[in-house]
Amino acid sequence: MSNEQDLTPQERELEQILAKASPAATGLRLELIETEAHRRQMVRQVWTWRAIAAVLVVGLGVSLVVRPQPRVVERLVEAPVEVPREVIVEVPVDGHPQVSPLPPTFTPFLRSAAARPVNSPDNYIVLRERVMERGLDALPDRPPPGSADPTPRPLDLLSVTNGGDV
Amino acid sequence: MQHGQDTDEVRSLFVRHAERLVLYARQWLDRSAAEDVVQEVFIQLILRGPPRQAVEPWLYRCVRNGCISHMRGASRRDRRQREVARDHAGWFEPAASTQLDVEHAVRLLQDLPAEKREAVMLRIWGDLSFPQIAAVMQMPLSTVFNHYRGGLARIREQMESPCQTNRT
Repeated sequence: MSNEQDLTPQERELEQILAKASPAATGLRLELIETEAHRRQMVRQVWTWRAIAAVLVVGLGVSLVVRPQPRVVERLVEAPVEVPREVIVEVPVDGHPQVSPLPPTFTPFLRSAAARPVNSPDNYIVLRERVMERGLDALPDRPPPGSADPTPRPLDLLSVTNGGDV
Repeated sequence: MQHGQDTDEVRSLFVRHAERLVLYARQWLDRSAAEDVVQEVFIQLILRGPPRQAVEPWLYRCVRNGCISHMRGASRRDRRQREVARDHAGWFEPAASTQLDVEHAVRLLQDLPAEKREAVMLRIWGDLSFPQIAAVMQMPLSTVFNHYRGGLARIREQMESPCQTNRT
């Protein structure tokens, strides 16, 4: 019971009578309203850009004040090093140039050990694979004293050879 | 919706509803304050664009809220403004009407209780449906309908009274 069809004919007639009174004209002008809206829009945009600029300035200031120290990162880098095979130094002796003997070079033991013949039982790689398979029992017995191929002593590991030959 | 279409829609809404909205606001405010409120509503309409729901109820609801806010501020600043708002001169155009004198119509409306007057104005001059009036007044539909019928009944009583008959 609350829609327009529920109105009586008398009520509808009264509606029509009242509707004949038209509202008074206003002093409002749409052009002024649009101008005011445009002005407010401009003001709002200006404030938006000001806020953005302020945020950027604050961020820049903060980043300058609390600037973190550069981090030192340590890492291992593998780089190939070229070992000179031979160096010839000319030393004039009595006006005659001479070629000096090759300077001593450092030869690691492992290189010399691995450089042994591959099929040799004393080859380091062969020996290592054998130990990995069978355990320590695969190690050869200590050679008797005075044998031809003694086990290298620690000092032998840092042996100094002439000319870098193995 | 594009800007040009928005502008056309606002222009159309202004032509159709500006005077009715001012009349609606005159229930609570004097003429200049009512026009200020309506102007502010149209400015917001231009800035934000038309709402997704029906525009007409939205306009009346915004005007209603604006009037209430204005009255609160006015009560703090100057209570005399309320007294001015009670002056109901200039609600309608002084057009000649065979059946209803304009001043008489204003007086009839003035004598109605606030809810009944608002329902009658939204229905007749706002051209809103009853569900839309209920949404604007934030009341149940049946309550709005009863207010409206009660307002019409009271207006009819006053129009049919001997005093009013002698006056016309």
